[in-house]
Amino acid sequence: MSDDPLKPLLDAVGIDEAHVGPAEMNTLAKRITAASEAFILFPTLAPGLADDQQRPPDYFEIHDREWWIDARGPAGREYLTTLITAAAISDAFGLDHTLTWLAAVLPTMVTVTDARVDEHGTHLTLRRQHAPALPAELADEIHPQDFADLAEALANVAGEVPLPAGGTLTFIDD
Amino acid sequence: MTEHLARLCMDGAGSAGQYTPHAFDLRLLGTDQATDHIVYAHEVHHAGLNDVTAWGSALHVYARLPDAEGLFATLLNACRTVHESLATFASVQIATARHGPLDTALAAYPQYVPLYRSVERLTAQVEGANRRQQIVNVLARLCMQTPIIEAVLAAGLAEFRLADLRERDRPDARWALFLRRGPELLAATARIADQALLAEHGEEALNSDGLESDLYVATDRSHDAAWDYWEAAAYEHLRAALVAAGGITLPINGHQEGTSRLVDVTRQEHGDLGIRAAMTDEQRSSDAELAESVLQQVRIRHSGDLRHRAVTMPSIPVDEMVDLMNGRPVVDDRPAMIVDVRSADRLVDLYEWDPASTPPRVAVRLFVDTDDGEAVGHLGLAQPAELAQLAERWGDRGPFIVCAGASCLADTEFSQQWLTTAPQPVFLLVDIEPGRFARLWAGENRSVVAVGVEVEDTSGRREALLFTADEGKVWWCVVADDVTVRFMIEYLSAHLGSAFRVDPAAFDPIRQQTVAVLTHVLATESFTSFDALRSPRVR
Repeated sequence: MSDDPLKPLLDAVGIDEAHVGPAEMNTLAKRITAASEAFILFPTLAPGLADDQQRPPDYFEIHDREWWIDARGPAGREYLTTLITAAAISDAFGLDHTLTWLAAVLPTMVTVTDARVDEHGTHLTLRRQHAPALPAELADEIHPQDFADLAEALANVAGEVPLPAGGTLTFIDD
Repeated sequence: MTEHLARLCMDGAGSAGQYTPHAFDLRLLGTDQATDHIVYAHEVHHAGLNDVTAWGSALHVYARLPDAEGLFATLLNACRTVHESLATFASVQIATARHGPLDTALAAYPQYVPLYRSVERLTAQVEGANRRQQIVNVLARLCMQTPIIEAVLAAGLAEFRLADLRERDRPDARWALFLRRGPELLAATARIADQALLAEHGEEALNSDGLESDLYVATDRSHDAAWDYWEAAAYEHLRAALVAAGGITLPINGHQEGTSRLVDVTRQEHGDLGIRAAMTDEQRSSDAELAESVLQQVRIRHSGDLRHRAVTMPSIPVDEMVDLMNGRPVVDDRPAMIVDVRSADRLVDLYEWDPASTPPRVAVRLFVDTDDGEAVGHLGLAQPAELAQLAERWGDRGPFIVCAGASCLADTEFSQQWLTTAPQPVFLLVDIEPGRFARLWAGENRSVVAVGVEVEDTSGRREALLFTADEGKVWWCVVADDVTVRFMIEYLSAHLGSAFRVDPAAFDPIRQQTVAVLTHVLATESFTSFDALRSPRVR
């Protein structure tokens, strides 16, 4: 089991952890998902960027500012790990949920315990939570049936699931 | 609607824009017209999409409901990808048609490149620039035509939560579904819509949108009915695909009845929050209505991201005012004396006032240095008699101009007091919706003469429109950019018909005053907008 499942993924693509911007996200996306556009867009849509880069909460805008993720600290690493997990599960199961939705609910359902990269692709090991419940802080935004449907789909997986971009997801239980 | 927006944004003619359901703000640098057009069209598409969809109606309501900021932001985030994808793709397509290939257009906006590429990939197999534009518009509307209004009405305005809707009935999730399906579904949809159009309207419109045709040709007015038919056919085909995936999707205009009920409920519970019923089919198909809708929502900033600071200056005798302005050449090496007249509310909107200041409604402006930096100083005039005295003492040193906000006319007593005795021509800065005066003029069969003016200096290019309905006693003045000016011309032409004419020869007699006013407004006014009377925004 790895303490830092993100490290082998970043090492494999040679990304500077201090500045994971659109180009770096694109490189990373190709190792994880066939839907790289949604992956790259995610940081511009969901909270988690450093300092004052956050997208505006209450308006649409077109601007010329840059954005990047600082993945040196635990918050940035957790953010990226969650996004990678969401994109991988979305691809593996052919889900139509947004990555924003998946990134919100998946931490209550699975934990990445290990990651490695080889010539076949990216391999993630995910430990399932037993009987996950919709947390109170998500109750206003997540429809309970959607939550239950995904929890059931994940619970019913046995063994390895191939990733369309190459690699596997392996589900384990406590 | 796509063809109308495209035509209005393209004809004639590092910027930035922001959109909320209240208004959209533009900071157009005026140095690169193609970029400015992208930014303008981008924000117009946000407004357009919200005005014709159920999710957009919900956004309009929750943007105005008291204590609903959190839910509004949640709803906005749930459609951000749909909105930004449509606005980015459509605006670049429109600017491309107007300005040619724009290889670097989005380089200044790196965040939007993935959005553009994703839509480009999705529409790659759809033939014709206009049909690509149309189908992205259809797709965005389909994603936004969810059962949200029914959910809000069932739960209650205050009780509704995003969790009441399944993920598949939220805009961005639907967009994700279509992205995952890939370009084949859209290509098949376009072919079916082509066949429907051919059967109903013949091949003329389709031929205008071939491989070599550009958007400008295909969106000619003569093809409007054909493309509306194409749009409806494409919508129904894609709607069936969403229904098969379990999504509940309204017909293309299926939001109108629900929006009307939502507006009624909102009004019953909260009074008039400035929300109107959704645009009708006729309104959506009218260039003039769309132009009015844009003009009601746009704000063009002249002072960058922040408003000008303003201070009230100690009053001084009229002779000292004359001395102060006399040494400042403005036009043809001559000075100009400009007396600004604005409503109290407008002054509060226009400037960041020093807390110790009481904004004077009638004032001579000049830039001054303060402890907090540069500010627009206001030398107030207390009585109309001072205005007459100032004009007399100024004499023929240079132009003497009264530049008033049109919103001042709403205060009849005030405007009678100050404007009826002011030296002519008076310049009225248009800060109100054009419907407030154009419909009146149309009813009185007034002839309106207009002249367009281009202003180019080191800070960039701006455009203005001046028009008079009383043979030059009063010149109404729009200081903006080429697109806004075009929207204003479209609106006035539609409502005044042949009584409205553009006559460049009308410029010569007012050249000096116009140059002075435009320079003055661009330098000292924080923004141009047409909402000074705060009328309810169009829906």
